[in-house]
Amino acid sequence: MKARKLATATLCTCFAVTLAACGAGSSSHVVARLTPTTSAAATSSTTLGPGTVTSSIPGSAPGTGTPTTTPSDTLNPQTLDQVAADLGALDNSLNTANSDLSHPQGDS
Amino acid sequence: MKHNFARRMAIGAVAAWSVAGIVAVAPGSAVAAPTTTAASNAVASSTAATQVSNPRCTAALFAQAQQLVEVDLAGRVTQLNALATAAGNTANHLTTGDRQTLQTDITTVELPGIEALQSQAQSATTCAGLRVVARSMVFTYRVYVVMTPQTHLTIVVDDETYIEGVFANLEPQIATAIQNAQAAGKDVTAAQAAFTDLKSQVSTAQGETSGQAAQILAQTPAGYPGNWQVFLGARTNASNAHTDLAAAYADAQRIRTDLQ
Repeated sequence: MKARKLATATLCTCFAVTLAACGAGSSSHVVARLTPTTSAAATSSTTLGPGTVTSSIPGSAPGTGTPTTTPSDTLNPQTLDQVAADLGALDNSLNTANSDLSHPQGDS
Repeated sequence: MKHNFARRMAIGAVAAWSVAGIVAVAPGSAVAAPTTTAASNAVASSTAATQVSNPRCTAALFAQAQQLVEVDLAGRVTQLNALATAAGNTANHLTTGDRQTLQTDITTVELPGIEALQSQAQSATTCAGLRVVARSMVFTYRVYVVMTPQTHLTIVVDDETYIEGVFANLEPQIATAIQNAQAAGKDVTAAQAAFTDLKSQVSTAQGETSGQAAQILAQTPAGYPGNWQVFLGARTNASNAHTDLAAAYADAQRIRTDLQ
């Protein structure tokens, strides 16, 4: 009787140890899978301001790569947006000037 | 275009004289229709079958003539205030000097001058007196055919010059961006072509606007109608520069997209 209980307890212990081992494996797998995502998020959060986004060199470990400027980042989108707005205002001014010369009020 | 210019000269001469003529002509002589301001048109349409379409200043018609001149003066005050607002609007990119020149002309010469004429028109009691006011309103101040295009064209040209400066400042940055992309192994052929075009467009625009503001601002009411061609030429240059700058902007967009 005592020996049977002992055998059962041993089996349960082994089973528990096996489960724990599997759990540990799963956990390490999840961590490993999430790491790149976390790294990517960290990289995208390094925006210093408009047009000055820095990024890591592909393949380097997060935080250890030398930051470099993405080529297209030197073209500040806000600058281009402002140019677009200025061109829009210019359209209106030019239309007004055209109207002055095509249909002047008063001819005098 | 030459036909239009000749036609405009004729219309301008007739219209200018019509205002003066309303109070100036000898008995029995006919004068063309009054100026084309909305206020004058209202007066003309309401009495089209009577005196205003063929105005003469006689003792009997003096009150109508006086009213017509006052309406035209009021229209010019409104226009000058609008021009002063445009010249003072800091949303545009008038240079400090050009803004000052326009504001000074409008607010210290033109506007006080027209307002003084308003007082003279109100106090005039004879056709001869009203004639002096009407002539000065047209020939001395040229609100519609000199001050108005002068103000608006100067704003256009200065705005364009400002945008040219923005692109000129961007050019070194774009060159660096293309170099970096090329060093990173990217095909920059299209971006480089767009950049070459951008520089060409900006350079052409700069040539079209260079010196234009000074030339426009040098025009005076006394120079009309001869200076009408100056305004037309400035408009052509400004329109071309606008086209060039729009093309430069499209190039910049293309470069940015290509390098992404």
